[in-house]
Amino acid sequence: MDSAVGRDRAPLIGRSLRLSAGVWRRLLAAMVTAGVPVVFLTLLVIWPLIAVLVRSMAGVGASDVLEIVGRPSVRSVLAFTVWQATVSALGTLCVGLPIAHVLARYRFWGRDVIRAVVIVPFVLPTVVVAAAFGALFDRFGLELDRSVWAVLAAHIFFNVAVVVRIVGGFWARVDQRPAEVAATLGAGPFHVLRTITVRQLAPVLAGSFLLVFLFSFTSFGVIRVLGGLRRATIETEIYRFAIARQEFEVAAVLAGIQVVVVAVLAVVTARFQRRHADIGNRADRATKVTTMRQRLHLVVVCCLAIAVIGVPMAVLVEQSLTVGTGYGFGNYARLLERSPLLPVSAAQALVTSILFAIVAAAVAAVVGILASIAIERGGPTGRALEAFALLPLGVSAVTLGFGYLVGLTAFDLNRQVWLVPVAHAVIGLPFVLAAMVPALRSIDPRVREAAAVLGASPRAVRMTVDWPLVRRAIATGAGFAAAVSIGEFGATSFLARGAGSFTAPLAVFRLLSNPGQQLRGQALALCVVIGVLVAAMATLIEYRRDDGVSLL
Amino acid sequence: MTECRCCDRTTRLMTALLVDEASVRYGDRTALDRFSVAADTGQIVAVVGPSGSGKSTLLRAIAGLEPLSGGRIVLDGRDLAGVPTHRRGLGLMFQDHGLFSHLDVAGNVAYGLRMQGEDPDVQRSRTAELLDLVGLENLGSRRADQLSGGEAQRVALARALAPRPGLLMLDEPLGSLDRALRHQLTEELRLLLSELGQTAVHVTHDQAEAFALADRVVVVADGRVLGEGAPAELWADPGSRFVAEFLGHRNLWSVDLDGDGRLRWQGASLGEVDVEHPLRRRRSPGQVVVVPITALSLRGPGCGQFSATVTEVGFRQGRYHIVAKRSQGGGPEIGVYLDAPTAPSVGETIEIGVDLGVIRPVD
Amino acid sequence: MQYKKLAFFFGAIVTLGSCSFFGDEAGDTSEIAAPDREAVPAGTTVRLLTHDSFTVSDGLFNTFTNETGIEVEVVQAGDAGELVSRALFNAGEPEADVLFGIDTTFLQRGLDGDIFRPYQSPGLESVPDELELDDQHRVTPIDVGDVCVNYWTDGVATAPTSLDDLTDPAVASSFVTQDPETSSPGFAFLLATIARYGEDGWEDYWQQLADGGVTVTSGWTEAYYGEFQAGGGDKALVTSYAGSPVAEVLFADPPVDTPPTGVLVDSCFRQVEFAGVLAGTEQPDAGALLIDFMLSETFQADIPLNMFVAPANADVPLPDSYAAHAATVEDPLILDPADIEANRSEWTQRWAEIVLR
Repeated sequence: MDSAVGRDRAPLIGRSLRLSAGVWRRLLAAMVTAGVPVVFLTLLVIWPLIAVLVRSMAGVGASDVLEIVGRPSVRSVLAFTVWQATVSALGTLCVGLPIAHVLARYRFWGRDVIRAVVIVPFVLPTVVVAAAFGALFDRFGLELDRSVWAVLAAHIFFNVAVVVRIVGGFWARVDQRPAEVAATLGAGPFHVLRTITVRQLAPVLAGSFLLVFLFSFTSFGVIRVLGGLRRATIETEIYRFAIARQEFEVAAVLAGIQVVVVAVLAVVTARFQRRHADIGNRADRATKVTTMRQRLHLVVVCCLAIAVIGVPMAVLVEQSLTVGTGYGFGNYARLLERSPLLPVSAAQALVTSILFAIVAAAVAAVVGILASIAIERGGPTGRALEAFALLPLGVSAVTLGFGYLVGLTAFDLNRQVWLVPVAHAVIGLPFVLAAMVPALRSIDPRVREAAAVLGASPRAVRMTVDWPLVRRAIATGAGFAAAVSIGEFGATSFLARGAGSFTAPLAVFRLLSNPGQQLRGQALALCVVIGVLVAAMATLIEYRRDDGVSLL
Repeated sequence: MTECRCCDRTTRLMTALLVDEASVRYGDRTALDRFSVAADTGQIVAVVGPSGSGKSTLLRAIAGLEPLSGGRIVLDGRDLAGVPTHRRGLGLMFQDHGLFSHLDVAGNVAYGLRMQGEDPDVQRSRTAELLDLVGLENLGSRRADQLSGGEAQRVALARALAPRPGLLMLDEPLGSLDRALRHQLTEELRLLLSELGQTAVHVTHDQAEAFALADRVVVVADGRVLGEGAPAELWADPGSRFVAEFLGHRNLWSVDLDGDGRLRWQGASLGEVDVEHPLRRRRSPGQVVVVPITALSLRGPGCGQFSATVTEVGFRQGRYHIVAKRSQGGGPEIGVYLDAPTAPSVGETIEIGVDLGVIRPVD
Repeated sequence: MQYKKLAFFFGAIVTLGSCSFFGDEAGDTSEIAAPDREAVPAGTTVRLLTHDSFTVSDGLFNTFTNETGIEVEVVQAGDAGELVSRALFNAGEPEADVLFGIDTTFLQRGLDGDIFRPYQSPGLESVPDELELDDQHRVTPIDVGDVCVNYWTDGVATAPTSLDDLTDPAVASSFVTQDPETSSPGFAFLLATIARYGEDGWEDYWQQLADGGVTVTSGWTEAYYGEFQAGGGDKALVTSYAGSPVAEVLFADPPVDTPPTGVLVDSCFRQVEFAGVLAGTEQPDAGALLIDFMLSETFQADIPLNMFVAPANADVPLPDSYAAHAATVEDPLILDPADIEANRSEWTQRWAEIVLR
C-alpha cells in the first residue's frame, strides 16, 4: 500500500525534475553547438573584418562609397571576377566529376593514389606551379601563358581536388536504386546522371561549386602570375589599393563588395544545399572493372586525370631533381641544412607546417562538427553560421590580414603562435562543413528514432548513429583543413611571424626571393616534399582498416 | 482500501498499455483526436486505417517522438509524460526497417542491449538467441544494407525484441514485402509473439494482415477510433458504414422493415427477421445493413429470396466470386457480391438466398 | 528574434570597438633626444618591423642585448610595399617600435604619413651625406642597394654596356622586367629610365623597349625564376640588383668562382634603405638605441652577405666575396623622393599605357 502511494507520487516529482533537467541539457547543448562556432567565427573573421572596415572607412561618407562603387573600372572588375570564378568552378566540376565518378564506380589499382595525389596542387605555391605550367606550355609550343585561359586552367588544376574528394566521397555511397529504376524506365546513362544522380548529389555539388567559386573569386597569385599584367580581380585590386597605393578606403569598399557577393552566393546556393539527399550512408559500391567498355572508360578518365594533375607535377619533380647538369637528390639533402636566408632549416619549417596542419585539422573538425549540428538544426543561428563560415574564403587575404592586425592587436593575440593554426582552421572550416552537413542531413530520421526507441539517449544517438555515418565526411573535410593549413600564408601571415611560425611555403617563398641555383633547387624540392606530405596526411586522416580502426 | 489495491493490481497486471484521450496536433491539423486504446499484457492490438488516419502518429506518440497536446499514455502503470523516448523501454519496427547501415546484423540486434549497458557476453548470447528465433543464425556478420527485404524485416524484429521491451510497436512491418512472404511472415510473427507473450501494437492499412495477426482490431480514421473489437466480432458487426467498407464488406444494402417484421430490399421481400434481431430496434426507412458475403448463397430455382443477373465471374482462393446485378423493381442496378462453389455464366439469372440472422444495421 | 540578438551583438561589438580602438590618436612625432641607456628598464623588448628580405646572421642581436639589456623581436611584414602599408595603416598606434626597410621610392610617402619620430644617431657621422635624404632625420640610412639590369653571361652575344643597348630589338626581346605598380625593382628600373632620359625622353625609350618585345612580369620571382635563364627560362636580361651576382656565387650549385650573371652598371638606380623610430611607440629610447646599433660596425658588416646590399657606413669594409662579385656603381641614377612621390601615379599610368597597351 505504501509502495503504491510511493509509486504514484515519486514519478510526479521525478518527472518535473527530469523535465527541467532535460530542457536545461538541451539548452546547454544548443549553446555549445552554436556558441563555439559563433565565438570562433566572430573572433577570427567577423570582428577583424569589422575592425579593418571601420578603421579604413573613418571619415568616408556614403557619397564617397557610392562614387567608388559607381566607377566603371570597379564594375568591370567585379564582372570579370564573378565571370572567371563561375567559369573556373564550372570547369572544375566538368573535369572533376568524371574523375569522381570513376573513383566512385570502379575498384582498381591506383584508386587511392589518385585520391591522394589530386589534393597536392591545392597546396603548391602559385609561382612554382606557374613555372611548371610555363615549362609545359613551352614544351608543347602553346602560347597560353598570361591569358585568361591560363588562369582558368590553373584554377581547375588547383581545385579539382575539391570536386574529386568531396563529391567522390559521397558518390560511392549514394543510393543506386533510383538510378537503376530510371535505367529500367529507359533512361540512358547520361539521362540517369542528369535526372537522378545529379539531383541526389545536389547538396555536395552545390557545396563544391561554392568552395571552388570562392577560391577562384579570391585567387591572387594565379591572377597576378598567370593572368597577365593588370588583369584585375577584386582581390588584386584590393591588394593594389591597399598595398601599392595605400588608398585604404577604396580597398575597404571593394572588400565590402566581396562580403556582399559572398552573402548573395550563400543565399543562392543554400536552396541546393538544404535539399535532403539520400547519400553517404551506404556501403562503398565500387566494383571491379569487367567489360571492355568499362576498361576503356576507366583508361580515358585516368588519362584525363593524369593530363590535368600529373603532368605539371611531373615537371615539378623533374626540375627538383635537376642538380647542375644532371639529376640527383642534392636539393633534397640540402633541405636538412639551414640556409642562411631562412630563420630555420627547411626541414624544421616542414615540422612546423605539419604541427600546424594537425592542430588546424583538429580545430576545424571540432568546430565543424559543432557548427554542422547547429546548421542541421536550422533556425536563424544555423543559417547565419552557414553564411558566415564562408566569409574567410570569400574575403581577401589582405583585408582579413589587416583585420587581424587591427582587431587582434587590441587583445595582443596577433603575436600568439598558437593562433596561427587556429586561424588556418577558420579557412578549413568551410571544407569540413561542405562535407559534413550534407552527410548529416542525409541521415534518415527514422534511424535515429529507432535508436532512441531502443534506449539510446540523444547523446548516445549522436555517438552510435550520427558519428559512424558522418565520420568519413569529417575525415574528408579535415584532410582539406590540413591541406589548407599547409598551403596558407595569406591572411594568417599577418599573425605571428618568426622562427616559431615559419612554415614550409614561407620557406619556399623566401628561397625564391633570392638569386642562386641552390636556393631554387631547394625551393622546388621543398615543394615536392610539401606535396607528398599533404597527400600522405589527407590519406592518413581518411584511412580506415578493414577492422574499422582509423584515426577518426 | 483493500478493494482499491486489488483493483489497482488487476489493472496493472492486465492493462499493459493505456492510451487515454490522447491528442496530437501538427499546427492546425489534428493528427490524433482524443484517441483511446488499450492493450492487455500479451495482447496484440492491430490499429488499422487508411493512410493519413493517424496510425503512425499514435505509435510515434507512444514512443515519445511526438508530444501530446492532451490526454495521457500509461505503460505498465507508469505515466509516460516527460519520459524521454530512450527511457520508455519500447521496441519499434518500421516499415522500411530503419536498420543501422553502418553496423552488421549482430550489431543491429545487440544495439538495444548495448544501450542498456548489458554485459558483452549477455549481448552476444541474447543476439544469437534472437537471430536463431527469427531464423537468421548465419547472417550475424552481414552488413545491414546488404540484406533482402525479408531478411531486413526479421533483423528489425530481432533488434526490437532483443531488449525485452514492455511493448512492441510494429509500423506497417510487412508493408514492403511481396504477398507470399507477407503471409508467411504474418504467421511467423503471430506464433512468435504469442510464444513470447509479447504485448504489441501493430499498425497497418491492410485489414487482412490486421485480422491475421491481432487479438483485437481498432479501426481508425481522421485520428479517431471508429470501431474496435476482436477480429470476428468486428467483422460480423462493424457498426458503421465506414468500418464495414474498410473491412472489405461489399454488400451494404438500404432496407425497409415492415411493421410485421418483414424485410424488403429493392422490391424483393427477404423474409421475416427474428424478434431478437438488432434490426427490430432500428426500423427507420432505408436503414443500411451490412450483409456479409458469407450470408449469401446460391439457391435452386424458386428457393431464393430474390433473383439477379450475373455480370462478372471471378475465381479467388478456391471459390467463385460472383458479381450480379439486381434490376427488377425499376430501381438502379445494384451489385451483389457472393461466393459460390460452382460458377454460373455471365448473363444468367440466379436465385440468391440470404441468411437474415447475420445481417447487422450500420450507421 | 535570434537575428535581432545577433544584430545587437554585432552592433555592440562595433560600438565598443569604435570607442576603444579607433580613436584617432596621432602619435608623438617630437624629436628623440640622445637616449639614456640606463633609463631603459631591464627586460625591455624592442620590436623591429621589417620586410621579408630582412636577414641577419644568427645571434647578431645578442651583441645588442648584451650591451643594452634590450631584447629584439623581429616582425616581418611581406615585401617593402606591404611593410609601408602596414606602417601607414597603423600610423600613430604602431605594432612595433622601429621600422626598417623603407627605401628611396617609398620614403616620401612614409614621411608624409607622419609615421616616424626624428632621431639623430651619432653613427650618422660615418654615413656619406648623399645618403641622408631627410634633413629632419626622421629616418636613418642603413644600407645602399642598386637596382640594375642583370644579364646571363652565356645568354648574350656581347654584354650590354648602356641603357641604350637594351632598345636593340634583339636585346629588348630577351629582356624581362617587372610591373612598376606591383614590384619594387620594377618601379626602380622605371625611375632609372626617367632619371636618365628625363621627363621628355623616357616614354620614347620605353616605346622602343615595348616595340622590341620586352617581357613584363608582376614580381621579381616570376621574372628571375620564371623567365630569366637562371630559372630555366629563355630571357637573357632581367631587372635585379647589383648584389645579385654575389648570391649567384654564394648559392651556386655546383659551386663556381665567377658568377653566371653580370650587371649593366649604366642602368643602376640607387635605393637607400632606411630605419626609423615609429611615432607612437612607448619606448622611443630603446628604439633609438636599436637605430644606433644598426649603424654600428657589427650590424653594418653583417649586411652585405645576408641582404646583398652595401652598408651605409662608409667606414665598414666590404667582405671579400661581396667586393669581388658585386657590381661597383660609381655613378648611380638618382631621383628626389619628393619628385617620386609626386609623380608616382602619373608615371606608372603612362608606363602602362605604353607597355601594356
